[in-house]
Amino acid sequence: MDDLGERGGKPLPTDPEPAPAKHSRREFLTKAAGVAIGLPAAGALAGSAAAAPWAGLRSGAKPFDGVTLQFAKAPFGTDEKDVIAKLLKPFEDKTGAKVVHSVVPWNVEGATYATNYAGPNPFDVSYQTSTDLTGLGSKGVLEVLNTSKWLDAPSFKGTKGKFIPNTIKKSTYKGKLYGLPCIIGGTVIYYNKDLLAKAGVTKLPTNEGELAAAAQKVQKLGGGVWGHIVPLSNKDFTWYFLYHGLHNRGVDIISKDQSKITFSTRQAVSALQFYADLVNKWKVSPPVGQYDREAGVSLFKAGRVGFLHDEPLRLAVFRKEKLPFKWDFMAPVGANGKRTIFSTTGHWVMASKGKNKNAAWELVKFLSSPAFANEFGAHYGWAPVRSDVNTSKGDPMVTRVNKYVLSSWDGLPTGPRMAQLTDVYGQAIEAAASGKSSVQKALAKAQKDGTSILKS
Amino acid sequence: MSAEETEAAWNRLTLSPDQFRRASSRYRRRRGSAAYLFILPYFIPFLAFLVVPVFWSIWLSFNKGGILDSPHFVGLQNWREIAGDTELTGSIKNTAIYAVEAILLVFTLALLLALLLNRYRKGSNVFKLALYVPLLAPAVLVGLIWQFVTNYDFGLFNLILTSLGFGRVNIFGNGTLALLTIVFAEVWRGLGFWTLYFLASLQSVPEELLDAARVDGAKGVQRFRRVTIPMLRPMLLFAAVIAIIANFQVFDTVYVLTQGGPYQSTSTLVWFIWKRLFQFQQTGQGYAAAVLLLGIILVLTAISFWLLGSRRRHERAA
Repeated sequence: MDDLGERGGKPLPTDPEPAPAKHSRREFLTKAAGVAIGLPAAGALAGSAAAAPWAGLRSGAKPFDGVTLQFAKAPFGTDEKDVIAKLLKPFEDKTGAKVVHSVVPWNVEGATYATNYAGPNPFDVSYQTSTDLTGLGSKGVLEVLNTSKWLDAPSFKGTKGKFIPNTIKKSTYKGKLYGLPCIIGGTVIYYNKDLLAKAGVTKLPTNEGELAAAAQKVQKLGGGVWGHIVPLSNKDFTWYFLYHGLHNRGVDIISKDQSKITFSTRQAVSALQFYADLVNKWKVSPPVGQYDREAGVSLFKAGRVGFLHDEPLRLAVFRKEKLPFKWDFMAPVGANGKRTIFSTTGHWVMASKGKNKNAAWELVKFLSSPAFANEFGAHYGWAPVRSDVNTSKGDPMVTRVNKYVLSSWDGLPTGPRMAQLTDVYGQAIEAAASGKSSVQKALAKAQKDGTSILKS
Repeated sequence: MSAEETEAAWNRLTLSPDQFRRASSRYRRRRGSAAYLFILPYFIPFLAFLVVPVFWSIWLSFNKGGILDSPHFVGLQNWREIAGDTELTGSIKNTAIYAVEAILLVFTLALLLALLLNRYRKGSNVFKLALYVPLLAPAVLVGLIWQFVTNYDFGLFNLILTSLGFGRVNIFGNGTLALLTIVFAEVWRGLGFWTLYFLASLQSVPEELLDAARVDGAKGVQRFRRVTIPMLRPMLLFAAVIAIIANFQVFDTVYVLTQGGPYQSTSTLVWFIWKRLFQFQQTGQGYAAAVLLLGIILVLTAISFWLLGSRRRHERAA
């Protein structure tokens, strides 16, 4: 195996010094030598030039001594740079490559990557979600990974088999995969056990009807308590939290071959109608604009929300802050007999203009491997995309999140216009949930706008 | 010395018409080149960072791609696409409403404050400083401050409303109020600058004219209407030009406070351009909208200058 990530096969230890037995120089060199021999052989089949740097390895030499890799990522937390630096140290020690990490704030992500990839020295490796992945990839700035040189190399076959098939499939657009899936997020519904008990909710809701009924009971408690909160503003990426409703009804915002927009199907109308009703009909969710996403979370922490629909990354925060009430979480409720969990997929990508692609590929493989992904996923509460990655570290809550996600995940199909289409869906949700227009009208407008976008 | 000798000596000392032409042109070139050297430090960046990008943007508005991939000519396709985009028409409308409201409000308040500061000069420096401070605040801080002002539960605005016995208002759930919040935030930010500008303008109004009006029996408001405002008119028109240019480019407050929502009611032209260029990689559409913005600003500026010129023409004719 030349997959650096499988050197250890177990999660990184939590102490700052990596256990030498798991990442010994000898073991690495054995693998490097294996690569040096193995890759030219694969190269003969694949016409790969990738073997060249490895072929010249001297005994004791680090394969990428003197190579500096530019690595960029929008952060999951303020501590992410430190977390990544710690987890990348074994990679740097073993390969000799130096990884320079640039933190790209989420709010300037698009502008930063657009200008960076337009330049002559793009980030060698970066993180992209399925929303932006193919938008960038189809412009030719990202390396196509499903080629015999990288993902389909014989040496990677064993590792490739460990990916959850649906993740690779969802991230592939017209036969091209521009990034290696690394994490899936999902959403969960946190609930305040004390409020639910007080309101007489004895059974956790499993479908939309039951959720509405339970939220109404909580709402009746009064005193500024809200039955249910989910982000409903486009600026809070509301589409992300409501998307599972489409999948539960067997539809999406775009057809499978991505030739038609499907915003205004009967099922899509029904999916959005439920959330519009929570606000306008049952009045168990606050009006659009009254509380943004963070304010909604603050209300939950203050014990004023029965059900809070958010991401699993709040788990660590809620536990750390020791909320003054009993709480737990569950999978988002189902509809139409289906109960899926939605999220975009995170990917590690390589720049097509990168000057050190072999080293970049090694970094991508390392980032995808258990040596990195176990600890990284566990730290931020993400679910893994590989069967050999375990992000729970034995934590029962994270184990449960992973179980939910891995058993019922249905992600965003990637495509060059997905960022714009999800924005259009967000605007439709905002308009319908605020009562500015009916669900049908809002989605009809989205259908029209989406069709124009697809044609552009 | 004979007359011929004197003539010859004179001819030796003076230049022939041809020689004179060459010498004078040499002199002009030398003088001109020195002047050009002096403006070069400005001219090169002006050319590189303004003129070239403007023409490049105009060219890219007729192309697809251009940032991440190489541009390919598509004629008027981008223009047709943005013409049919309801978000763009909404953004133009929002920007125009915002600009009119913001300019009228900030000019009125700034002029009032400038009049007060001009009249009561004792201790006015403290007020000038206090007024100017918001301009120094970064947009993120302005956004945070205004989020506290507009928060539904504990915002200043809703606290005042509830203490007066009214109900709370969901400001960011209402398009008109959300746009007004952007207006107030920008007015609050720009008030100090415009107050100082108008104060300087007021101090340039000749005291003799005001004294003469006073002697003629003009009251305070009459003096303001008949003397101060006409004297300030060129400064006001210039201020209007600057304010139009600045306010049509409003972006950072929108970005921090509303991100164009709710339902695009605070989406402005620059917000539209930013999204097309950097979020959606629709560069052709982004450039087309940017060129449209440039056109709008140029037209409005030309109208302002024409108004300024027509006033001068009118004064000269009188």
